[in-house]
Amino acid sequence: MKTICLTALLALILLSHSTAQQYTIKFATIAPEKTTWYNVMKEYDAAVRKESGGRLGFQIYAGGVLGDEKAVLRKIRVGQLHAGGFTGVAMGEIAPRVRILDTPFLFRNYDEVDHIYKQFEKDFEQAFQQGGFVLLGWAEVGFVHVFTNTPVNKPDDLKRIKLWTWEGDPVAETAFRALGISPIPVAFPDVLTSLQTGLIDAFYTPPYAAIQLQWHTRAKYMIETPISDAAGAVLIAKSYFDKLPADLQEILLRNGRQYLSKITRLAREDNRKAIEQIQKAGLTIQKVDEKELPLYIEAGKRARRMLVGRLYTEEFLTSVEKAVEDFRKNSKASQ
Amino acid sequence: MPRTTLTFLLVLGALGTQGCIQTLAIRSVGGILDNGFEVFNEETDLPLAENALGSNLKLLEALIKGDPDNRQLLMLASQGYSAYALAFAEDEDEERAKLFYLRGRDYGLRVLSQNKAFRSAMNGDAAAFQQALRSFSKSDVPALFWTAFGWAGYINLARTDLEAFAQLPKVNAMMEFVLQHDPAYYYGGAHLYFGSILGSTPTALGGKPEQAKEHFEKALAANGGKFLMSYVYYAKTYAVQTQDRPLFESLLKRVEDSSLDILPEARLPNAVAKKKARLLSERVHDFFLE
Repeated sequence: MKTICLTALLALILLSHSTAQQYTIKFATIAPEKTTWYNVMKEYDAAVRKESGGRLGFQIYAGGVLGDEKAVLRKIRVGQLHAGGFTGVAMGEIAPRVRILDTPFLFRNYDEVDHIYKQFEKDFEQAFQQGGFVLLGWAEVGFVHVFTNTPVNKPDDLKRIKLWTWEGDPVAETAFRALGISPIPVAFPDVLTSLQTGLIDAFYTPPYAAIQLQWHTRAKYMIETPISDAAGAVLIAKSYFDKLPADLQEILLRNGRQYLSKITRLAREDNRKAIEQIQKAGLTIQKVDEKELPLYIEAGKRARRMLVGRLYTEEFLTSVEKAVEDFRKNSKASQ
Repeated sequence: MPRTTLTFLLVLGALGTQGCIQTLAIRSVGGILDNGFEVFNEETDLPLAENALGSNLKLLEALIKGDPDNRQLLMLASQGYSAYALAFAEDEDEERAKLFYLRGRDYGLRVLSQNKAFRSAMNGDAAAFQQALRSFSKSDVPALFWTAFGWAGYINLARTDLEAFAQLPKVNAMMEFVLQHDPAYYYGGAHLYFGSILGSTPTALGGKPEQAKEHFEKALAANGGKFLMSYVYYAKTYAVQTQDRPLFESLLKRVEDSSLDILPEARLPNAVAKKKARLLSERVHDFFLE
């Protein structure tokens, strides 16, 4: 009887020891609680906790309470946080070459996007590592559209609008300059106010974000052809990741890829639904004339060249562009 | 004995008394129920209030079936369902809360839809909707407030429902109307609404913490600092977004330390505020870096 009691006690002690969480990844995101983004991160957290027997988990700071992406990046670099959800501007500070994914008119559909992400995965992972981070998974923001208050039938019409550009984003600024537009730089939090006062009358964003930010209430048109595909990723400090035992690293990465690709899938779905809601709200979806399309595509090419040396090498740009072209040819041939 | 009277009248109705008598009877019940709500709001025991409110809401719905355009009954149902969602469902079972908030909204919409301009603009765009709101006056504030309250409560929980979220500008417009015509209504409720909206949006996405603070201070001025839900939302939104942990803790402590008798007619909402303040302080590690 005594032996049984002892064994049970010992088992209990062992169990409580093994379920004590040893690694808590402090993770921050701008996404508020109850959003798709947050919900899937919670699923990721639950999966990691389960598979690690409770040794690994996330502490999620949602809704941007710890500041914007750049503030989160600073907090990770000083060790207050370990991981974050990032988009273009902050990713560019970590791994400039990744921003090639955000450049204008590179992709025409999600198949092309998926193909390039896959083909160049190792390059991008390496770039993040050089910047001190490990990629837990891509969490794409989605195709970015221009919203205006006047109809835009050709690239020249864009010159007459007062288009916003995100202060401090070289990719957007270069893209618009290549189209011959002089955009007006405004800090992100001031966009809605600037639309209200008329300082700007046009902006660019994925449709889902347009609704979340209520910017769509300040536009009459959305241009159907996207100008770019906004990248997003969940990154963890390499210094923290390297301290994790190999089995936990494996659990974290495998589930990261799985759950974050779910975020990408749901974000694409949300963007599609958002366009319906935008139409319901009274906006007109403006089609780009087939004849005008090459003008945009050429502008995109020029913009990408203008960023050589600043974000990536000419060689890398050429290899990505060629991969897109090849994929396009092959998918046309197979149709 | 409002309950007994109500049941009696209901039975009378069910027995097939002539239609007009039934309607008359139900109309007189409205007043009784109105006092009934006062009794609920004075209750400090949450389980008792939950059970009683739940059964009375069903009774109300039965009465509405017999008198579907009765504004007073519809208003009580709107307020009752939203209050039930906020007090007894939101922190326990979000799916139930969503359902009840929608009922609260929809009963309110039935009142507002008696206005023709509103009815035709309701499913239109935000500009037409805003235009239609101009046909309302100060006496419509309660209907607008409780409809918007239920609607916002639903949107807040159903963040993955994009279609619902896209309607937020309409809810804002309704609350804006309340703010302009009767800012002190329901303990400064419209100020609490805008304080929460502006205070919970991250500054990086256009949140306005200073404006949020002003709204909270105005709400507190309107209710003399006695409607404890004000402190809860102040802590949950503004204090968290500005990362002011001492403020967060002092606001919640204020709720904890306050007596339920500081505002006898709001004992129930204040007891609910105490519950929410406790839940919020248990989650402090989700909001502030240790």
